[in-house]
Amino acid sequence: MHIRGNLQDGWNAGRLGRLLGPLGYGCAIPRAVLELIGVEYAYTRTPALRGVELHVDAGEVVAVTGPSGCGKSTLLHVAAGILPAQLGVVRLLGYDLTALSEAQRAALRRRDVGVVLQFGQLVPDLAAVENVALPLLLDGWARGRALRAAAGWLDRVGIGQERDTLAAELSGGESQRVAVARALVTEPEIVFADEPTGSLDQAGGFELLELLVGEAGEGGVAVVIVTHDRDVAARADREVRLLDGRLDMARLTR
Amino acid sequence: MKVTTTIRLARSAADAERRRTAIIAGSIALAGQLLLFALHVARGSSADGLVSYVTEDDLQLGVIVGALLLIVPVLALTVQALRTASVARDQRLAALRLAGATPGQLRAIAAAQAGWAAALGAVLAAPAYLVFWIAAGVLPPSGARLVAVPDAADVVTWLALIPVLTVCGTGAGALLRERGGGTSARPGAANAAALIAGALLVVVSMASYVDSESNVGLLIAIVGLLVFAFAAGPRLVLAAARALERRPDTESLLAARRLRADPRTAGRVAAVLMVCGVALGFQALYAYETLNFEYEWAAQDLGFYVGGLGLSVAVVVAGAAVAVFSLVLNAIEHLVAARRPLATLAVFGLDERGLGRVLVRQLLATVVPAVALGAALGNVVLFSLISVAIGAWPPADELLGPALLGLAAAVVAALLLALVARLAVRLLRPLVRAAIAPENLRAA
Ligand SMILES: Nc1ncnc2c1ncn2[C@@H]1O[C@H](COP(=O)(O)OP(=O)(O)OP(=O)(O)O)[C@@H](O)[C@H]1O
Ligand SMILES: [Mg+2]
Repeated sequence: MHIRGNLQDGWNAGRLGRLLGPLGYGCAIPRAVLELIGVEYAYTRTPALRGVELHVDAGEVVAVTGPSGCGKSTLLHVAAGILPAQLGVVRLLGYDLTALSEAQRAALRRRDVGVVLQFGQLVPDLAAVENVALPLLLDGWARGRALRAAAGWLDRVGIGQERDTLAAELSGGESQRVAVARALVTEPEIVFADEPTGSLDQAGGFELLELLVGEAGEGGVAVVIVTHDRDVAARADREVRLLDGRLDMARLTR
Repeated sequence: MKVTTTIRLARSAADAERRRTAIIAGSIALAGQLLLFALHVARGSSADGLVSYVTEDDLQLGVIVGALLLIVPVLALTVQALRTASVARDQRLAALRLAGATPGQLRAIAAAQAGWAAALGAVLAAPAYLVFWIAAGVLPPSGARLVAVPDAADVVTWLALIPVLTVCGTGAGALLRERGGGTSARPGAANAAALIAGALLVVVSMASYVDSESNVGLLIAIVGLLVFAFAAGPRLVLAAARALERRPDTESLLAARRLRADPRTAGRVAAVLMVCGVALGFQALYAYETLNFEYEWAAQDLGFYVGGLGLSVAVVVAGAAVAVFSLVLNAIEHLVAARRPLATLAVFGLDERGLGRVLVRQLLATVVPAVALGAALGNVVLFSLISVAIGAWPPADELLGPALLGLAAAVVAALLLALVARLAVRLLRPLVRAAIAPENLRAA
C-alpha cells in the first residue's frame, strides 16, 4: 500500500527516472523499466522458464513470440509479479519484486502497470466505464473522480458512446478496447499484453494494436506484448523469441 | 434424434454437472419426503406414542401446511439448480449447438438430464423418509413422536410419487430456460400484478378468517402471502442493491452489480426469508401470549403450546437454512463462472479477503432486508388481524409486548443469518482462492 513511502530509492527508475534521464542523470538512474535476470519458473512438473534474461527500456515496445506452450504467458505473469520467480531477479520499475509483499506488488501493478489479456477480463456485471475505473477504485479513488477519468479514456479509445453498456453486452472488439483503456487509465509505466488481439479478426486486431501502441507511445509507456501474429510482432520495436522456456534470439528492428 | 443418443448426450462427467444433478436429486428427495409425510398425516394416524399435533383433526392441518410450506424453499432450490448454467455446461451446449443440434434437441437433452435427476431424487425420497422417521418417530420419547411406523400405504404413495416427480422434473427441465449472461430481467407488469393480487388475497382472506374462523381463509392467506413474497423478492433485492451501490467502497459496488445482474435467484431466496420473517412475527405473538401466563389455558398445558411453537420455529429455521444454502450455492456457481474477470481483479489487488467482503455484502443485502421486512409485515398483519377481531384498535400496551418480541426475534434472526453468511463465505475460502488464482488469466 505505502510502497512509495517504504521504497523511495526504487522509485527513481520509474516516472522520476524517465523525467531526469534526458537531463543527464541517466547514468546514475537505470532507464530500464523491466529487467529479468536468470529467471526460472516451473509448474509442478513442467519447467516453463529456464534462465530468461530480458531488458525493457522506458517507452519501448517489445513483442514476445514463440510456439504454443513455450512459456510466453508464464514470462508475462512472472514479469508482472503475478507469479513469483523461483530463481533469478525480476526488477519492475526499479523494484526487486521478491522484496515486495503481495499487497505491495498489487499496489505497484494497479498504479504503474497495465494488463491486457486475450478475452474475458472485464467484470460482466459492470458497465464499460466502471470496468475501466476499477484499478483506480481499488486504489481508493473517489468514485466520481475515477469514473470521470475512465470516461475520458473510453473517449480516447473511441467507444465513449458505450460507457454505460454492461461489459457482458459488448462485442469482442469493444471489450478489448475497454481493456486497453483500463490498462492505460492509471497512466502506467509499462503495459503487459497477453495476445490482446487473439480473439479479433485481422483488421480488428491490427486496429487494436495500433491503438495500444499509439496511446502507449504518446505517454512514453513501455509495452510487452505476447503474440502469435507476425504482423503484430513486426510493429514492435524489438522481437524476443521464446523457445521451450529459453530466449531463442533477440532481434532489434529499430 | 434417437432416445439412446439423447441419453448419451445428457450424461456428462463434469464436476459442476454432477453437482447440479446431486442438488436436483437431493432437493427432489427432500420434497418427496415432506410430501410423503404430509400425505401420511392427512390419511390420519392413531398409532401409539404420537404427539397430538398429528393425531387430532384440527391440529393436523397445521402440520400438513407446515410440511407443504417447507417444500417451497426446497423447490426453489431445485429451480435454481435447473437454471444454473455453469461454464462447463455452457461450453457443452454451445458445442452441441455448433454441431447442429436444434433447439428442440437441446431441450430434449435438458429434459432428459432433469428427468433423470428427478427420478433419482424420487427414489431417494424413501430413504430420506426413513431417516426422518428415525429422527422424529423413533428417537423422541413416546407421546412426542411426529412420525408413525411407515406402513404399506406409505410405500404405495412413494411408488406413485416416483413417476409423478419424474414427469414433473422432465417437464421443468424442458421448460425452464437457462440463465444467459447479461440478460437481467427486471420485474415487469406481471410481477406488479402478482404483488397486488397476493396482498389483496392476504387482506381479504384474513378478514374473512376473522369472521368465520374457517381454515380455508387461512390457507388462501398463506397462498396469497407466497404470491406476494415471490413477487416482492426481486424488487426487494434490487432496492437493496441500489442502496448498496451508493456506498463509496468498491466491494459494495461489485456486490450491488452482481445482485442487479441477476435479481431473480436472490429474489427467490429473499421471498422465502420474507415468509420466514412473517412467521417469526406470528411466533413472537404466540410466544408472548403463551409464556405470559396471564391466560389460564396457556398455563395449564404449557408443554403443548411450547411444543407447537418449537415445531413451527423448527420449520422456519429449516426453510431459512435451505434458502441460505441455495444462495451460497449460487455464489459458488458465480465464483466458478466469473473466475477469469475475478482473477483480473486480483491483479489489481482485490485479494481473497476483498472478494470475501464482496460475497458477504451480497449475501447480507439479500438476507437481512427480507427477514426484517417479513417480520415487520408479520407484525402489521397481526395487529390488523387482532384489531379486526376485537372490532377496534387494541390498546397500545397489549400490542407493545408482541411487537417488541417480534422486533427482538427479527433482530436475532437477522444477526444469526448474517453470522451464517460470514461463516459460509469463510468455508468458501478455497473456492474464492481458486477463483482469483493466476491460472485463470491464461488463455483457455
Ligand atoms: N497451471 C499449470 N500447471 C502445470 N503446467 C502448466 C500450467 N500452466 C502452464 N503450464 C505449462 O507451462 C508451459 C508454458 O505455458 P504458458 O501458458 O506460459 O505457454 P504459452 O507460451 O503462453 O502458450 P500459448 O501460446 O498456448 O498461450 C506449457 O508447457 C504449459 O503446459
Ligand atoms: Mg499464453
